[in-house]
Amino acid sequence: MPQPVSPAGTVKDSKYRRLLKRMWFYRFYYLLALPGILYFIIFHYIPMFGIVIAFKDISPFGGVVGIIEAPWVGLKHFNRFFNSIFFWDVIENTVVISGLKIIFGFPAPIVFALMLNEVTRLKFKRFVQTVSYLPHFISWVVTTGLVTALLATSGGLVTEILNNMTGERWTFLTNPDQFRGILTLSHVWKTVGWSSILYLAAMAAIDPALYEAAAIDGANRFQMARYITIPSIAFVITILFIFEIGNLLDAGFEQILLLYSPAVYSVSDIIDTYVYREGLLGLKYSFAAAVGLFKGVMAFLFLIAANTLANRLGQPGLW
Amino acid sequence: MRKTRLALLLLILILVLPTAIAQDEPVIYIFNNSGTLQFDAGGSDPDVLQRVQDHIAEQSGVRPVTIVPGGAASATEQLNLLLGSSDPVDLFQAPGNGWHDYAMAIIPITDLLAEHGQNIMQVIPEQQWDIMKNADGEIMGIPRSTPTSPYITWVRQDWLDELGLDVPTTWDELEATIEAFQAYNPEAMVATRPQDIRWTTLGGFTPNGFSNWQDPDDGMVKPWVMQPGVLDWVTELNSWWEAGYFFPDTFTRFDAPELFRTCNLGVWMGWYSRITLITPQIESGCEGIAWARTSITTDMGYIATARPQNASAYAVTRKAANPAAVIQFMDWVYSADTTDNQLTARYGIKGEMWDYLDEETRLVNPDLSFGYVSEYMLPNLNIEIRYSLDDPSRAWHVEYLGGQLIDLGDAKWPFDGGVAYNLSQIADEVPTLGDITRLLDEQTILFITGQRPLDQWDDFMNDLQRAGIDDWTNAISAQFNELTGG
Repeated sequence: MPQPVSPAGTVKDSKYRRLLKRMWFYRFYYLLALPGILYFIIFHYIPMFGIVIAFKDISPFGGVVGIIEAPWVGLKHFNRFFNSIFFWDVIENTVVISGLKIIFGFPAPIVFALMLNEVTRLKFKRFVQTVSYLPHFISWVVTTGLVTALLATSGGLVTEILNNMTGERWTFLTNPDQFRGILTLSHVWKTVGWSSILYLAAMAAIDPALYEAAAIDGANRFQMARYITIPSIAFVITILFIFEIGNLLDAGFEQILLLYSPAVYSVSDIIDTYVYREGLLGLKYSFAAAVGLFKGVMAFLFLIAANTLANRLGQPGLW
Repeated sequence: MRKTRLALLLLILILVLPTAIAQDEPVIYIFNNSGTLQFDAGGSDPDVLQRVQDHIAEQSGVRPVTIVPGGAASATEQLNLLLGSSDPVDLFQAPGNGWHDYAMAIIPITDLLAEHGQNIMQVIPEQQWDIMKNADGEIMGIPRSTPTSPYITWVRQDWLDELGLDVPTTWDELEATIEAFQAYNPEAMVATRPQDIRWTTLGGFTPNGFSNWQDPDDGMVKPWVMQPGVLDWVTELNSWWEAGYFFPDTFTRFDAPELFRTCNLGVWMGWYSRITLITPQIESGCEGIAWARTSITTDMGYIATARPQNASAYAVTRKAANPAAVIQFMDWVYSADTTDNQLTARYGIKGEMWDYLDEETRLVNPDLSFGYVSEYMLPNLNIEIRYSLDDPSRAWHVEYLGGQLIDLGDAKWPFDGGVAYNLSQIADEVPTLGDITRLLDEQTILFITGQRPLDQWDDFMNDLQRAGIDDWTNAISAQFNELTGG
């Protein structure tokens, strides 16, 4: 005789038990994932409540109570940012500088990795790899110091050589036409080696039999790179490209802050430097939070667009 | 076993008790962003610092702990984060718009000063306290600044002597001097900073110099850039740029000591201490280098503008556990009867790290080799001018503080100098103030360096209108009228 329990309850109970059973079975996997989950909850999800700061007028010195008690001001801080006469300038600068870094900085490590992949002398390859990784470990403070030492209008090594060779006065760091180029070049120099690691790792996983077969078919090195290496690492390229697009509004705060001056504000003042001056130094934390939220939403939209595009082009995206 | 335990207990008592006794006095935390440590962000030798701290704790009855800030710009960022955090900080210097910006983070100190700050009240003149008071008449901080004339044009005296020239006294003579310097040394140059050039030269082209001014047409108090004559000033400086007078990096970033070390600087238009502090350091490399302080005029009067006192202040935080101890410590440093205390804060332990060569004239010979970099010094010109130094690297500087720096006779006094504006309130009323400031900083330099044609000046003024400069004018005028009854 069947027991008199509700069918729904039975199903629910059995589902719940099955879930618990499954979790218990995979308990060590869950345990492994726990620190990561806690990290995201504590450092990424709980702080999201801070978004309310963007819709309030807070004093930075009131602590959590100050945030709770501060008056709601709606979209005041967003309006202020959108109505700033520099709004379109900082958006343009951010997108253009970031775009330049993607255009030149994104393919550079791929090309570099492809070139390294062709090097057969292992010692030389390792030496080049090590040297190319070094700039990654140099802070932007030191890097911009090097850039200034090379390109300062007075006494810069490169500037002085060009001055003497051309008889003209070169002004790299104060010339709006050249400043973005310097930002892009120094970014590529600093990141090219380190960014190539993932591509090299992906290349290491390619089955050598493919190259052997291609060689038997008469393919040269360029053809092997074009028809075997690049297609084999395409998924890594796609995923990293989506990440790059997601970071489109992060144009390199530290680098620009350390190199720019009023003479080149027009081509270098990005969202982050604008917020730094207005928000952090000017004690307008609500304004800084509003612009930060705007940036976050835009980055999210860019990420979705890039992922959709990747899917439509037949590449595996992030989801 | 029991003996071992007893011995251990005794050992712990012996180790811990003296520390506990020594640290009996109240501890205060100072974020020393006064500028004293701007070139010494690494701080003192820890052992030396501990000894100086113990000595001060013994003398003052308060144990000060100093938080050494990073660079000048990051110091403000660091301070803001520190004040918003739960970390202890009891005393700091309010930068930017002064104590107004930090009104929510600090406490009034009127009663504390009355009870514990007799020395402070005595050494700082009465009129310098007005700008420290809030609408209720409460004192919100201890004044940091005093009226001075720190932005001056300096020319190389040794080159003048070699060329048989006098110190220039007019704008035309200054130009002739620069021409002569460049003929004498093709590498000779003029250096300044974007802000400094306003202070040092705008007075020669405008009625009020680098100052707000009152437009006689409508009676409104307006920002400096709207004065008649500003375009003439920009045009003149542009001609200097085109003539190659200026150091090419002068409007961007440069390391002042490095520039001075080239020995090619002929004219410095800027902050006085670059001359008084850097020159003694480079004398060995630039043989015979000497500077002359100028008093230059044009038809409009002196080219320099004096700097009035601002609302910058040493302020006590809301989270200070023992505000009375903070004022007690400051009162000890600012002693009216003796310079011993401020010299201890500045140079360390008396008799070991410094001493008087002549007690009557207060001539002091500090020994800087101990590695103490003045963590406990909270400078104020009113006390710093009470001694002189035997140290050749700083003697001129200290002498200058008490003399020519406070001589306001050869600079224009700002139209509203001394008016205690609440700049923080003005910033709230003019949300686009940051945009206007950026426009001013950026565009004046572009005009001077020829990157923007001078015939676009009217467009620039229109940009300022679009950015809301009229709101700024209204806010300044309203406060000016309220504060002066004008």
